[in-house]
Amino acid sequence: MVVFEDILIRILNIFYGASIFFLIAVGLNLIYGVMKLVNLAHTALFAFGAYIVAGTLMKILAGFVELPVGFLIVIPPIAAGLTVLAVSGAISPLLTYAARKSEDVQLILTFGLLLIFEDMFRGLWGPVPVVSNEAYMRSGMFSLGGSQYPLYNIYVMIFVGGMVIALWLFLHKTRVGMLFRATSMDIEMTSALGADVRKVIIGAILIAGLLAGLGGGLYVPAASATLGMSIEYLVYAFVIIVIGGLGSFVGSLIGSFIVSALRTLSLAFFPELELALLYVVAIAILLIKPEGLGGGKGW
Amino acid sequence: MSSDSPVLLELRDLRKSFGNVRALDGVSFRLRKGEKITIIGPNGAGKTTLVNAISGYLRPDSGSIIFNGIDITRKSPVERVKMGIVRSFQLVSVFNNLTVFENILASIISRKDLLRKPITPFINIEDAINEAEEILTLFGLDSKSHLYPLDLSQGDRKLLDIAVAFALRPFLLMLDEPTSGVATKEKHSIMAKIYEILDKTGTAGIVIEHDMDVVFKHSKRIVVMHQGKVLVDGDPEEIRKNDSVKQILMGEIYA
Amino acid sequence: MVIVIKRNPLIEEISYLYIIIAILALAYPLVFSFLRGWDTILTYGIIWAIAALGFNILYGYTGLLSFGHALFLGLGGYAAGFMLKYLGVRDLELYILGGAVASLVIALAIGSVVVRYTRIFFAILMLAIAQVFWSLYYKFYWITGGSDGIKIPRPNILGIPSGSLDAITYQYIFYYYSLALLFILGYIMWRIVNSPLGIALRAVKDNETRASFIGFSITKLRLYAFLLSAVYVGIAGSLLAVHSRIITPEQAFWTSSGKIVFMTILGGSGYFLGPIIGAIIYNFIESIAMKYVYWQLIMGSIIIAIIAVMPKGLISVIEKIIGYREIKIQPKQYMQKGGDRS
Repeated sequence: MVVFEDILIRILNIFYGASIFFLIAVGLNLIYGVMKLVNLAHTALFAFGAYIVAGTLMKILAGFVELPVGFLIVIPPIAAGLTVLAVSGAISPLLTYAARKSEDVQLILTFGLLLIFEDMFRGLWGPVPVVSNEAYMRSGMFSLGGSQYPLYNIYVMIFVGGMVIALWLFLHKTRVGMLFRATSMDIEMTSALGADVRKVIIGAILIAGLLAGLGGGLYVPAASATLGMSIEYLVYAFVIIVIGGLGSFVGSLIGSFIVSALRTLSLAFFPELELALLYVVAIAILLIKPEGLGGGKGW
Repeated sequence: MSSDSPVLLELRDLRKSFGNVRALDGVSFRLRKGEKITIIGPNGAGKTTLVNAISGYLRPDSGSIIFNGIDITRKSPVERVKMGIVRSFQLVSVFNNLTVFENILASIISRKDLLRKPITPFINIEDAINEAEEILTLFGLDSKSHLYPLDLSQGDRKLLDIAVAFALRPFLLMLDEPTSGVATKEKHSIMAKIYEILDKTGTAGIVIEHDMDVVFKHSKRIVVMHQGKVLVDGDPEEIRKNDSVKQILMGEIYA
Repeated sequence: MVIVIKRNPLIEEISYLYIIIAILALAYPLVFSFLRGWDTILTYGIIWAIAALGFNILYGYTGLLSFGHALFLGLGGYAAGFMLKYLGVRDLELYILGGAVASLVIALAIGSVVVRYTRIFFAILMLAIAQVFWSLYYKFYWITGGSDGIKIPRPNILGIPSGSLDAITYQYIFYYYSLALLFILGYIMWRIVNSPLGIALRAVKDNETRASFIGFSITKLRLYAFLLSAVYVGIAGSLLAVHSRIITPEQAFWTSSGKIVFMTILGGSGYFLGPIIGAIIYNFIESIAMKYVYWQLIMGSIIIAIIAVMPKGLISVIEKIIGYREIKIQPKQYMQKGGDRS
C-alpha cells in the first residue's frame, strides 16, 4: 500500500541524491566547458573531500569539547572544499597539459591521475572505509506523518539549493561569470576580445575543486569514505553527463535529478538492476539525443 | 570531341533560392561527353551553388538535371558518384597519413568495389596497383608516389586532390577553383595538366575559376554567371567581345 | 625506379612479427627454468597481446577508442564458463570458438548502432554497455556464480585429456598453444591491414569526409573493424579465463578495458606490433607493481609519464635508439600477394 509519507520520503531522497550529484556534475561540466577537457579524476576530488572530513577533520575536532551541531554541519565541508581547491590548484598544470591533447589522451592521462589519487587515499587513510557520522546523527530526525526523516539531508538540500542559486547568479549576473560562459562558448573569440582566458581556466579548475570537495564533505556524514568511491561516482557522473549534456549548467541539474530519480526508484523496486537501468537509460539518451537533455551549450 | 558527341549533362531551368537570395535563377545548358567548360563570374554569382546542385549536395527548388539521359535531380550524392559525377573542393582534402600512392589506390579500391568480398585480405590487387601507377604518371606524381601529402608542394597537393577524384574515373569531373592558393607560377602548369588529362581520357569537366589569365589561356568554352543566371556561354573570343561581361568582370580582373 | 619512402609503421614488415614470435618461443623455456613465476606472466602477456591486437584494429587503424572492450573479454570468459557449467564442455578449442562466437553475436547486435558515434560518445557508449553486462554478471549470481564466478579446471587441449598431462607439461603446451594462436591471429591481422580493407580503414580514420566522398561506406567499414576487434578480444577472453582457471565479473569490469587501452598506448597504437609489445611489457610491469601496496600509484604515474615522454609508445623509443630506417622499394612491390618486402 502506497503511503503518502513514503512518496514524500522518496522525493526527498531524490532531491538529496541530486544535490550531491549536482556538486560533482557542475564542476565536471565547468571544466569541460572552459577547457574542453574530460577529467576522469574529478570524482577523486569528491572522494578527497569525503576523506578529509571523515578521516582527518572530524578526528581532530573530536578532541575538542562538544561543538555545536551547526558548526559541525557547516565548517568541515567548507574546510574540505577549500583544501580540495588547493589540491586542484596543485594539479592544474597537469590538467592544462592534458587539455591540449587529443580526447583519447585526455581520458588516459586523467585516468592515470585517478589511480594515483586512489592510492593516496589508501596511503593516508587506509583501506578500510572511514566513517564519521556525528553531524548526521546529531542533526536528528523530524517526523513525517508516521515516519521519520533525517534533518541532515534537509540541511544539505538547503545548502546545495543555495549554491545552485549562487552559482547561477555568478554565471549570469556577474562580469566574471559572463567571462566563464563566453569562454565556454568560444575561447578564441573571448581571448581575442582581450579577456585573460588562462585566468578563467584556472578559476574553473579551482571552483570545480571547491564544489567537489564540498560535495564530498557534505556527503560523508550520511555515508562513508571508501576506496573505489571515486570510480563508483565517476560512473554516475558519466551517466549524468550523457543525460544532461556535456558542458551545461542546466544539464548538470537535469542530469543529476534524473539519475538520482532513477537510482532511488530502482533501489526501491528492483535493486539488482540499478546499474543496468542507469546504463540503459544513458544508452537510450545517447542514441536519441546525443547532446543530452540540457541542450548543447546551455549555460 | 566533336559536336556529334552525345549530350552528357543537361541542366533545365534550375532554380534555387536561399531566403530572398536567388542563387540559381533559371540555369540551363548542355554539356557533351568529353567537353570542358569553365564557369566564371563574380562572387555570389551562383557558381559553387551550381556545382553543389549537380553533385547532389543541394536540392534545387525547381528544374531538372539530366545525366546520361537519366533524371538525377532526386538522386543522392553517393548515387551520383557511382554514376560518374565527381567533384573536388576548394580546400585540399586528401589523406594525410596515406602515401600519395595509397591515396590514389583508395579511390580505385572504392571504385572497383574491392571491399565487396570478405576475403579481401587475400585477393590479388595487381590491376589496381597498375592503374594507380598509371594515374600517378599521368599527373606527374609518380616520382613522389611514396611521399606523404604534407611533404608535397601546394601545387602537387592540389594535383593529388584532383587525382584522387579522377581515380574514380568519372564521366564528369567538377573542380572548384583548382588553382586557388597556388603560386602563380604553378597555376598555369596545373591548369594545363588538368586539361591535358581530361582531353586524353575524354572526361568532361566543369571548372570554376577566378584567375582570368588561366581561364582565357586554357578554356575553349566559358560560361559566365551573374546573379544566378547564365549571362554568356561561348568561346573566349565571344566572351572577350561581350561588353556586359567586361563590366561585370572588371571587378574580377582587379580582384 | 627506386624510391626512398618513409616507413609507415602501421604496415609493418611481416618479418618483425616472425622475429617477435620466435623470441617469445625461445624465451619461454628459459623463463620457466630460471625465472619461475614469470612464466605465468609471460603467458598472460601473450593472451593480452591477442586482445590488444584486436583492440588496435579499431583504435589505431580505424580511429575508434573504446573504453568498453572488457565487454568482449567477459563474453569470452563467460562463454567458456557457461559451456563448462551448463554443457559440460571440457575442450579448449570449443571454449575459444564459443568466446569468438559469443563476441561476434553481441558485436553484431550492437555494432551497427554503436559505430555511428565517434570519439567520446563511442568511448562512453562502449563503457556503458560493458558495465551493463558486468552488472548482470554480478547480480544474476545464480546463473553466473556472482562475484565468486565459475571455476574452470584445466580443459582438454588439442584433444588430449587434461588429466593425462602433468602440470608442467600442460603449462608448456598451453603456452605454445597461445603463442601459436597469437602467431596465426597476428598473421591474419597483418594480411588484413595490408589489404584494401586496411587502406580503407586508415582512410576513414584519416579523413572521414573525403573517404565518404570517394564512395566508402563509413559505417560499414567501422562495423567490420568493430566485429574483427570483438572476435579477437573474445578469443583472448576465453584464454584468460582458462589460464586463470576462473571467470569472475572482474574480467568484464572497466578496469580490464582500461588495461587494454594502456597496453596499446604503451607499445604504440601507431605500430602494428605496438599492442603486442605493449601487452607483454605491461603484464610484467603490472606484476612488479602489484607486489607493492601502492601499485595503482605506480601504474598511474607510469601512464602519465608515458604520455608525456613517449606519446607514440615504446616502439618509437626503440626506433630512436636503433635509428630511423628508410626503405627503398618500387611501387610494384607494394602489397604484393605473399607480402614480404625486402
